[in-house]
Amino acid sequence: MRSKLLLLLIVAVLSLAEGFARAQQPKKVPRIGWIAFDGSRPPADFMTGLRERGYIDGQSIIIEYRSAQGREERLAEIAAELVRLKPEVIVANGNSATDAARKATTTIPIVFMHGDPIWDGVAGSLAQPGGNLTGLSEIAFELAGKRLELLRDTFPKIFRVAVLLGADAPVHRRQFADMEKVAQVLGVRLQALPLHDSRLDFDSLFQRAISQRADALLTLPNPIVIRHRTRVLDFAAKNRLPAIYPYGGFADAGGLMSYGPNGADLYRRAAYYVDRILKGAKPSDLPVEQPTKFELVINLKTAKTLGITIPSKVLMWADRVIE
Amino acid sequence: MQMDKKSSIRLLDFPSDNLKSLLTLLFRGRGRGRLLRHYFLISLLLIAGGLITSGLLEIYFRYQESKEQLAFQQQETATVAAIKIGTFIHDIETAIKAATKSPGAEREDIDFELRRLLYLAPAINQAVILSIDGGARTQVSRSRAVSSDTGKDFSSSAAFQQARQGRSYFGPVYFAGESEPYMTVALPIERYGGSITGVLQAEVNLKYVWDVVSAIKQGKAGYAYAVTRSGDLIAHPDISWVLQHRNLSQLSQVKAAFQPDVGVTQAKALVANNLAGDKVISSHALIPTLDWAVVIEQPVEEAYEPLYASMLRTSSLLLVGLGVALLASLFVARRVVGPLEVLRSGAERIGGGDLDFRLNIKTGNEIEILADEFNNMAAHLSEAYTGLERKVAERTRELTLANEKLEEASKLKSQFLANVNHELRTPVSAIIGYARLLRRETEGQIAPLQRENLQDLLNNAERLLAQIDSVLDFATIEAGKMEVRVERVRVEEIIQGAASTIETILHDNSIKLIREIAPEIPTLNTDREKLRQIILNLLDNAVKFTERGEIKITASQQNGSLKLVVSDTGIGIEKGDLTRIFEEFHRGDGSSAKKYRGTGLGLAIVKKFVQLLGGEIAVESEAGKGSTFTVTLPLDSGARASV
Repeated sequence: MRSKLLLLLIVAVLSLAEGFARAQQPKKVPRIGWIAFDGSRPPADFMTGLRERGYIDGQSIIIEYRSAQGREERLAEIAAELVRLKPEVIVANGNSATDAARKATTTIPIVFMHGDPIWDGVAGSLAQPGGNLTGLSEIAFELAGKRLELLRDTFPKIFRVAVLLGADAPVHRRQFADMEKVAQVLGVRLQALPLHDSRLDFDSLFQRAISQRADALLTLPNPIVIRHRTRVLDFAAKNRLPAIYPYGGFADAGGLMSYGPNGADLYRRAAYYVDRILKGAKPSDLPVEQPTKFELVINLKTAKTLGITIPSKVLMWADRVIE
Repeated sequence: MQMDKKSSIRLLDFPSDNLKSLLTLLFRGRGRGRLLRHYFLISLLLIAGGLITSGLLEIYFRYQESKEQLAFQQQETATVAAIKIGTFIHDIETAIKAATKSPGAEREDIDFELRRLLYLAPAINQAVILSIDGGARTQVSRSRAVSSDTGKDFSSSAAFQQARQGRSYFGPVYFAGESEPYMTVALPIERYGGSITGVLQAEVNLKYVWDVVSAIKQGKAGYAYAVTRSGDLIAHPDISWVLQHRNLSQLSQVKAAFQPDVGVTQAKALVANNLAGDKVISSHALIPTLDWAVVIEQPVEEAYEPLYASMLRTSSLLLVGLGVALLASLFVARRVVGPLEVLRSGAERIGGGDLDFRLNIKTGNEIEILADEFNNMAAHLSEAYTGLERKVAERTRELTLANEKLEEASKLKSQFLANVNHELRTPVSAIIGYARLLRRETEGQIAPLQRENLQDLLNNAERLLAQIDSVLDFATIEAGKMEVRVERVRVEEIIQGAASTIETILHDNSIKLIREIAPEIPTLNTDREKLRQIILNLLDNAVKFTERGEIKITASQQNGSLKLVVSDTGIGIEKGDLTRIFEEFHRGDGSSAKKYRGTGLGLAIVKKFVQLLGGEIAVESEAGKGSTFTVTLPLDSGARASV
């Protein structure tokens, strides 16, 4: 009798446990594809943004990270690979990654971080992007002129400014053209240093800048340059050139100063888009946001090495100073 | 008296505790006397009515209170949000004002002040210092190069013009780069003595208001948004709406927000559709300096969730209360009506003859007293009934004895009649037969006196036989064995035959027999022999009591009946005897009985025969002036006989 009772008890407990396990079985975990020109994992700020919205990688979401490892020709391939995984949303970091992603799918929602999605035709309009894409604009054209102005504000005596840009990036040519207008007002002359992705002819370009007696260096946002930033930083340091870069990472690595959209804010906002799409919003209903927070990073160590004094009116505006 | 345990009903046995039987008792019982049902329904009505009324009132007042509370909370939230947004803009204004007050604002390196302003106020994307004539002296921007703007003329801008007059300017919302909501704020740069030396104009990115608005929560799903008087959305937790330049001027809550609340003293929430078309409860608060409004919206389902829960709770309690009321009603009804039902049932049993039955009610009130009275009454009834039964038994025994005697007498009577028939009629018939034979045999051989005596003998013998027949007839009638034999009869023939018989006994010519028979009398359907006997007896009766004069018989048809009248001029009948002449064996007073022959059955037989034929007989008479007998008979006695 007692053994029968025990058996009954065991059966009951097992049934309950099974029911509980069934109840606890998670529904399908959404996948987020990440496509980038370079890097090895999504930025920490993006992950923080997801966590703030209740997503935990590996539990409530799975992030499929795919990087071209600095080889642009691989982007199409990894984009297709991501599409095959059928993620709920793809995050494309950068212009070339966005381009590869949108060519790979017209159905899977894509959240981009793009220099200027309107100029590139990625979005119909900022308010109503249309299609399966939406995301963040980095207002690259406006900021290119702004960096030049900032460089001139910091170093009023500069006259010739070398601009490192991508020879294969039409957007850089447009940015350069816009900067020329600002340069005229500021009374400076720009020297284009077009970098060919295939050749990576940094040395010849830098040689040209030296030969043309460049007073300062301005680098346009370029994933190739980001990948080979040490070479650029070394060149500036070696030639004691005041330089301004688009991302804080350059300043962290020893660049004199950088100005651009606040990366942390940008990636957190990307997490916001991912959240909205996972909750059912259509990308076409989510307007493209422009950055509201910008970051001026000044590396005083580098300034000291170069023997440069940063004016207080610029220093006062710096969001981060590396000493 | 010993109480019969089986026949007693105990209160505790009734009604059965079985619910089914109770319900049957309540709702399927006889229509009459269902006091239990009435008491139950009245109790239920009173208790349940009270409960339902109080429950509904509770729900109503809770609904009103919840609505007011919700409106109050939303109003509070909206006011707080309005204050926060107002404070946000005010802080920007303060920062700008501080910049204008700085001595640096007048110096050549004024852009230092502007950079500081942008540092202090992250929402300001761009700032410009304008000279007193509206030209841009210097400006800074977070996102673009502005060097080329130096000297640009702002003199015609509304911002400059208002600030130039010493008043702060807060411009309408505009969207930069298609999607970013911006507002221009301009303040005068005042110097000593209030003189205005320029204007500081700033472009404020209103997405920073989004931070303020997003932080405002109303319940779980409630939210706030800011909107301009023209309906442009400035800030919304879903920033997409803002970036899409959504205009909300058509929403009723937005319209309401900008309507003057004249005389409104109490917070009032509005039920409306939100931008997505969902039903929401909404309140609002104005930000007067900006002419904006903050609108709070909360989904109706969520807002009323506590109310619904409360209503559910109240309803559940109400249901439980109703259940208790039902049981209480049953209990009360049983307590009140149960003993009455026991009483009724007991009375019914006692009334049905179960006088040994006793009620057992122990309620300790009037009903118990009543039950005791019933028991006493039943005891008395039982005693009386027992005495009555004894008497009835005695009387029955006596009656049985009497009946036996009567049966014996009847048997003797029948025997007598049989004897009469056999012992009297037979010899008399023999005498008559022999007398007739003798008369015929001695025709012409005996002296006239002998012949006359012989004839007297024959006459008297025949009369004796007739009287014996009368006695037998009457006995037959009395025994109810007299039958009516209907046949077609001509009344004239019967009257003539009877008259001829009577004429033979008229002594002389001193009595004249007159016959008047109406010619229109139809043939009757009646018993020939009985009609003949009626007429013969009446004529015979008339002859008996008439010395001289006339005897008259008339027959006529009157009102569909045959009317026979026999009148005489005889001695008549005393008034006192008129009612008795039709009684059997009645023969007037003693003197006339001796004087006149007969058995006293003639008229009695007439009356019986008339009744047998469905007619009536009446007599009129006065002593010394003769008598008149009137017989009315139906023309068709067969119809009656067949009835």
